[in-house]
Amino acid sequence: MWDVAGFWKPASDTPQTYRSIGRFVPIRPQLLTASWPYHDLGNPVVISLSTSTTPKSKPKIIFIPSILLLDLESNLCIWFALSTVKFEKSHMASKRIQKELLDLQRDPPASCSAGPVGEDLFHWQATIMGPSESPYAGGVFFVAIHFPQDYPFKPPKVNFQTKVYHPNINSNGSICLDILKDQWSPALTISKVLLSISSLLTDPNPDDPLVPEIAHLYKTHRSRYEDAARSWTQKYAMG
Amino acid sequence: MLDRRQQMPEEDLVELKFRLYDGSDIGPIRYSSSSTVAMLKERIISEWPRDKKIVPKVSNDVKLINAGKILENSSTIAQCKSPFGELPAGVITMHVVVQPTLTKTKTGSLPL
Repeated sequence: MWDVAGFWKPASDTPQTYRSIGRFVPIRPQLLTASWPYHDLGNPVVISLSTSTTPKSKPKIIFIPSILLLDLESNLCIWFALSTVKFEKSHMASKRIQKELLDLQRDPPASCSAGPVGEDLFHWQATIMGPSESPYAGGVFFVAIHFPQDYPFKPPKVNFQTKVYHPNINSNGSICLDILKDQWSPALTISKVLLSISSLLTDPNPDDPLVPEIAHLYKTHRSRYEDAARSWTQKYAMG
Repeated sequence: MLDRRQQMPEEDLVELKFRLYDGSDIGPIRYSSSSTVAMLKERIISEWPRDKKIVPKVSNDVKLINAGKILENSSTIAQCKSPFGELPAGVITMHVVVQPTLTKTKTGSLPL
């Protein structure tokens, strides 16, 4: 029988250490509750299953299979049980997405802009301005973003909608970028993802290509690659 | 904040900031929410910092982007606002992209 000893959040100054922010209290077998500071909502939280009150080794980030959030005045309560409740998952996701939206509205990066397409908070559109030191300069590239229901525990799906001539972006707009796959972390945000894509435009990664022909041209005839990328930018990203 | 409350007029005012390619801003400037995107572009041209390498000449050279969308000249600010606008947004930051219509940069020369 597991004893859920507590929950921790990564300390902001030293990411390897975790600060305890509370304890779970069993209210009946297999059902526990814990209060949750409102300002921490949407930040990654570590659930450690152990019998001691501090994590012994680096705890794993576990997605709680079912989670119920109840808004009670200033605190939110987290309840979880072994049964599955679906829609509550997205409650946490939507709080987090709203927070990211607010941050982007307040102070967006100079090179990208993003927001919901319509009424659906989980479906966004973004623009990435081609970096000035790259052959994509002057272009405005559209990107579609789909957040999964268990965001930020799973990465968002990000696709180019504007055609791009690039070794790591294929004709379907798929992007070969590690942080969108196995290197995703709940501490990343959509703003950081867009900035990473922007750096990928400046510095392609030809050793892990999605379009081998473009990667080859990039490695062997850099100026021909640049000419092609520049002409695609003029044709598709400057309309 | 204080003077904003004192002069709160009958019509809706929106505070806008325009973020340029290098991260610098024009504004914040207060507009009526019925102003059109075309009007914003004219104002941007007139307020463009003189020390920039890239200077748009006519409003057609400028694209305004908000929340991942390129704004149409005929839209009003009110129409551009996000449906999630009930967030305590304060100043709205829009992006400005300069794409001179006649520029055909020679291959090898510094592109825009």
